[in-house]
Amino acid sequence: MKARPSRPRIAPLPGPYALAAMTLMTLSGCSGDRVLLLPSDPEPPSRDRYAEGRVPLPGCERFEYTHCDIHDPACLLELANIAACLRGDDTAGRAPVVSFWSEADVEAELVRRFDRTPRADPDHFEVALTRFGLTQPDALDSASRAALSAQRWAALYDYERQEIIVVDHAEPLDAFNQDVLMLHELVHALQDRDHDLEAFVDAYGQGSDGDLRAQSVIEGEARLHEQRYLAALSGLDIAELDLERTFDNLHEASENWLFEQPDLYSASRSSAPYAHGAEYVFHVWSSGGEPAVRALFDAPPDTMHDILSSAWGGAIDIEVEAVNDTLPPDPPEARLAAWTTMGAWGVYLLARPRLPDAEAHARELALAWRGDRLEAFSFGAEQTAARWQIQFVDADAAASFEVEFADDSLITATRDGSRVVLIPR
Amino acid sequence: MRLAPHTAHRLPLALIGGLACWLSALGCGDESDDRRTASAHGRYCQILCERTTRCVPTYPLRSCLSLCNTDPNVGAFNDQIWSGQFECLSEQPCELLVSGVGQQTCLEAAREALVPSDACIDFCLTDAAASFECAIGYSVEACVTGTTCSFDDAVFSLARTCDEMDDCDARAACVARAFIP
Repeated sequence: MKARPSRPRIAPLPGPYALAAMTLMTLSGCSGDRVLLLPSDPEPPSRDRYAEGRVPLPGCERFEYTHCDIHDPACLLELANIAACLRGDDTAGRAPVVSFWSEADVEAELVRRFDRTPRADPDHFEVALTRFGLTQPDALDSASRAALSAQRWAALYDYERQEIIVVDHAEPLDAFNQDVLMLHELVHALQDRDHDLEAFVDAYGQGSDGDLRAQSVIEGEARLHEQRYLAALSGLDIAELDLERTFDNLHEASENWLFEQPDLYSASRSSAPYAHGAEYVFHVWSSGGEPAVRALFDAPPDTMHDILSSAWGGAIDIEVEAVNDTLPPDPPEARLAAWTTMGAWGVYLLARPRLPDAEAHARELALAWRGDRLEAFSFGAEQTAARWQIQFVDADAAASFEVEFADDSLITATRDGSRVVLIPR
Repeated sequence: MRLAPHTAHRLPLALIGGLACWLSALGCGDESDDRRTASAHGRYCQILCERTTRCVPTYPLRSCLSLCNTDPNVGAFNDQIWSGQFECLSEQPCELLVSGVGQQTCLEAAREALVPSDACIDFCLTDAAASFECAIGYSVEACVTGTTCSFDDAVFSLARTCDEMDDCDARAACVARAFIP
């Protein structure tokens, strides 16, 4: 999975791990609003298949889809071959190395890697995000991030070592979920083999919006195949499942979890790529199959806006407007310390908590995004100033966004046509 | 995090609790109710109470039967769960029976020997599918071989009335209600 939160362009962190650990919290909870499609009484066709003992996945019928022990090399090879088949390959070749680490060892290794890039002191970017209510003091420092990641991740694919690391928690996953987790990480290993994930992240994962969209491709594909495998391992016939509904519920559950977190910025990386990213990749896969998914590694979606449009329903082909460094620093003597594009997801992070009973409107505002620039300035004695310019599709959308900050205790909003400038109070 | 049915529904130990209740204080059942005496559960109560009162001679058979027969949980369970314990209960030594360990042993043995009904398999298939679509995956096999199939088919019929609910939380709550006696 990842160990790297999105960062501004000026001070990007290196990408030691990039890839995914399946986080348990994204599997929990659910809500939805679609009609449930269930087999009808009295003889569901799947009962016969249940009696036969296996429900193969179309195209990968040669596998048994029964539980195996991930400590067993034969199990890993079988899972690797299933992962390869789900991605459209004949075989995986050989299974990658899998090692089992304690939480403490993972945390220590993460700190070591995070510390390769010295953190600015003070971290004006973190201060700016904190003032916009998107993170908390010290949430982005190495120790905090490493500790949280080590607790939260069940496993990760480390593309520096090219191996899968399973985190041994005090309360381990049950055997069923261990298989699902391993399949997810094995997809990452195959992605790395075929697409060089470090190069992919370097090319397409810059800035906050870029990082989330690159992670959405990586985690989205892994989550898609994980869900297909989960269906088979569960003994369900995937042909009888409504996957559209599944992924809709996945992003609903993911958002419900996210907006209970105190650090929305960091938590976004543990939620959106696995949920909205997965739904985006599912749509790509549904229309173009695995070749279309693979093509995403050469031509990923332009921005998170495309991914969110796919998940929420909205126009995908939009014209993004660059928000350049045209406004003078404020105060005038301030120096630009960092900046990033937060993207449509950033607008959603601001809008949704302010519109708790109007989730659809918050999504409309996010999809009305056409560009943005969040800047962190330093001035005086280690002081920070922050500014966030957001370009909307039109003046109506900008006005609709601006009005949500009319009585805001944290942020002032000023609109000029279709652009809104946010300043922390 | 919501639990899948096979982990959420556990066999109650009400009878064990009931016996302990009597041993520690006064009886706690309705002595007038012996409706289930002709059923598998009634026979279970008869065997359990005859054995128990033989082990604890001061415990009146009538009180034991009343307590056993009025357990609110019994109607929710498959008759095989009760009939599957007859022989086991007869063979339990007094100390295990009175402590409740013997009853637990017999209950587990009956559960493991249970042949899942078609209604239970159908429920597991539909619930696992619905849960999958609600972003909570669990194994049909675990449902069928776990404690879920200990329930009576009437419980599954009730749970299947939740099938048409489109909201995940509402459906899960509906299913959970079906399993509460």
